[in-house]
Amino acid sequence: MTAPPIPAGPVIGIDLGTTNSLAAIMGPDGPRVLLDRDGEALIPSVVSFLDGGRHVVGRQARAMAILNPRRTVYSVKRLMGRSYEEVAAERAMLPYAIGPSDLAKLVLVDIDGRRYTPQEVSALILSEVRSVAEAALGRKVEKAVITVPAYFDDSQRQATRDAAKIAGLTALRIVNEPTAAALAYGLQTRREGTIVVYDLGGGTFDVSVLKITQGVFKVVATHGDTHLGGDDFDQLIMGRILDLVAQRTGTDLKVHPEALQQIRLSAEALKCRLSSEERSALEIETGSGAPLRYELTRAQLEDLIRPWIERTLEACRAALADAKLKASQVDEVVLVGGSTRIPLVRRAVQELFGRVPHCELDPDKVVALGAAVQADVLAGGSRDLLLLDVIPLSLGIETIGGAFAKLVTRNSTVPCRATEMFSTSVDNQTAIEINVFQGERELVKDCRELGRFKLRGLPPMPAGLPRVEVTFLVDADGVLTVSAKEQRSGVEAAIDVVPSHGLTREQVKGIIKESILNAQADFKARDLVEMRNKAHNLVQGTRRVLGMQEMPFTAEQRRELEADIARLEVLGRGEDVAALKRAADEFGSKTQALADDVIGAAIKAELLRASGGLKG
Amino acid sequence: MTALSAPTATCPRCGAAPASTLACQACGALLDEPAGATHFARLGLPPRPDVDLAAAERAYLRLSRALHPDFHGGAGEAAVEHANRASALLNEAWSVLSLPAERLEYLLELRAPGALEGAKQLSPAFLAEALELSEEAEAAAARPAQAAALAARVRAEVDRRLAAVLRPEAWQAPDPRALATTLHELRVLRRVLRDLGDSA
Repeated sequence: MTAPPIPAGPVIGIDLGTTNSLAAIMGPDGPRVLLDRDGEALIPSVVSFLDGGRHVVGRQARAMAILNPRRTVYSVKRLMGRSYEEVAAERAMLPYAIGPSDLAKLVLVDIDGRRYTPQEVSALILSEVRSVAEAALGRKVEKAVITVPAYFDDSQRQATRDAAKIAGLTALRIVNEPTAAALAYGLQTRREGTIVVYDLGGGTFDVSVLKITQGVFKVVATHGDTHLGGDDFDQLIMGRILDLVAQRTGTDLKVHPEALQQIRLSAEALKCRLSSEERSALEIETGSGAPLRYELTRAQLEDLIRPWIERTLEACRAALADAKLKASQVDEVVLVGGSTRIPLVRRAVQELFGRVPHCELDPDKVVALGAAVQADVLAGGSRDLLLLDVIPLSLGIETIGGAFAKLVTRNSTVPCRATEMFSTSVDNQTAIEINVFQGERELVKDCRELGRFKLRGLPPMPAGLPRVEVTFLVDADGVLTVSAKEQRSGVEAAIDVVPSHGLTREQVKGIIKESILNAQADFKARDLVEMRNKAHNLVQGTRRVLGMQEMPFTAEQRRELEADIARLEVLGRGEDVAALKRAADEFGSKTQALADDVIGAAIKAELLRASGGLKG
Repeated sequence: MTALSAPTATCPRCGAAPASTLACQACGALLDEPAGATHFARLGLPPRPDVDLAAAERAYLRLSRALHPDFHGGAGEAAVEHANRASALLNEAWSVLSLPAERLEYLLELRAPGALEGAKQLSPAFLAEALELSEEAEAAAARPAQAAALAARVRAEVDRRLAAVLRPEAWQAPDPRALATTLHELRVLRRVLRDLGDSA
């Protein structure tokens, strides 16, 4: 068989995480993560909004969390595709403001009165991932495979796809994170088997049971705790340190946010060291007298975190029970997430499943690496792997009395479709409204509303006569599209989609347009910074030359240069990039001539000295 | 019962006669399905009650590779849409044909449309037996060992009935009512199995 044309340009895999995000790509020796200029792969999923409409993403943004807490957004993944009511419980834990939207059941992030959808914030993170990838590859990147938790429903997947679109990326495929982890380990070569993916990250814990049957991956059960992770362990250590400081010095550091931040980072580093060392210590500056020493052994840390680890094991047992499996029936266990480096976690998982878990790959990078494996398939690189995913929740429509009629049952292989016949109840009715839900319960009020589909343009007929065949198609990403045709007339109905928790196509388009405008503002801001730096360097260099005693400047030249410097400094404090650029360019060419003279003079002096030396 | 002929066409790209109505096995082209294409025709299988499952699975996976939207990303949005639609049909075909009871119901509907719905009347003897099984299942709900034993018994009963209707000879009778009745009885027994937590 001849292959269809291969998409142009590279396709990268992106792990868009709650705490960190990163990209990977398939290379000749397998998948590899893409590094930024500092050699780092992990980009903190944090966006900090600055003055003048600017923002920073990643490590820089995370550093701003203390200084700029109300305008620094993290954990935005928790808000994706959700309504304000659904995430209201999160509000107390988030230092930034969130609010409801007038348009849909959509939560918005509020930064000084400017409201952002979670899709837009995620798009800023994706843009950063994208520019790191482009710098690493030296090529433009426009296509990606993006991972999501297995339990993400249609609205959350759609929100992820919209975020990519806003970031100028086409999400060729949305892949489940546990499936990606299994791909990173090459477990797809197994035709049959049961895989458990244990994912303990910074702030969330997920466990998924995957079944491979006849080469098809199915997520058969998933459990977890959306607020359990390495951050909790840091907090435990921090609490101990604060107690020690209070006890020894009588100082309560809780009221000093900067000191707290410092201690949090030290506690995290201490925790990480204890994964390889038996005991470790840190010193705390208390501001008065000698620094305090705090020592912790691995055994003590294990005692501290044991109750949390036990909770993850409980979730594993629940997932196994849902999958109707015994721990001994599991063929492979895969560890994902930075917190699985903790030896106690590995021991506990190994003990529960009675087998050594896979941890050969970096647990922070496994998901991105797996996404790159699938990205390679989509880029036309490999046709060996066929990843068939399933729809995580049943999909259906509201019928009489608020009952939920399932059209596609959960765990059906996607793409899948269902058709349903509809008719009218009133003479000459030309429109029908269909409410689509996702869930496993009997009544729609217990399921999640995905959206309302309004069919328009039906030919007018007596009530009950039209036969409208509505096709629900769930694509390879688990995302629904609906089409409808009136069978008697053959008229294709127009469909307006009103997503309950997401954005309409028009809204996404609007955001994209706006963000292009924003991008221009971003460019301006960046230009200004660059130009200021350039002017600053010019001024510094010229000052140095002016300070040299041996330089034969006339008094007039000196006055002129001083005046130019003063003008440049005034412009450098302003916002007018064009004026600053003009002045800097002029000054640059003037000082270039000067520099030539300086070099000429230096050479002349050197020659004189040299010839003098020869003579002498 | 009406005889079925697999819709044949030639591949517009290479001219070969495709085994499946969804894709050409010779050149990999996605095909526009002829009207009335059946799940059997989609998988390139003869419309028979007994299916060689291993061979059918090979065909399913081979066609999945040809049809899956993953492999049509470079050919534009329309091709991806076609691939999504075709893959959905293929998945539906496989999910129906890979399960014997569902396959037989589907085949009966093809051969004798309406026969299955027209033969809902089950014998009082069978209904009494089914009611008893349901009650036993309910009583065994809290006792796993008892439930497992009952499930094994019902499963054997299901298998016995299935074996009878899987034989092509059972499909040679001109009257489809006996087949329809057996398939209805199978539905009832499978529901008991499901209630017992036996999803197989």
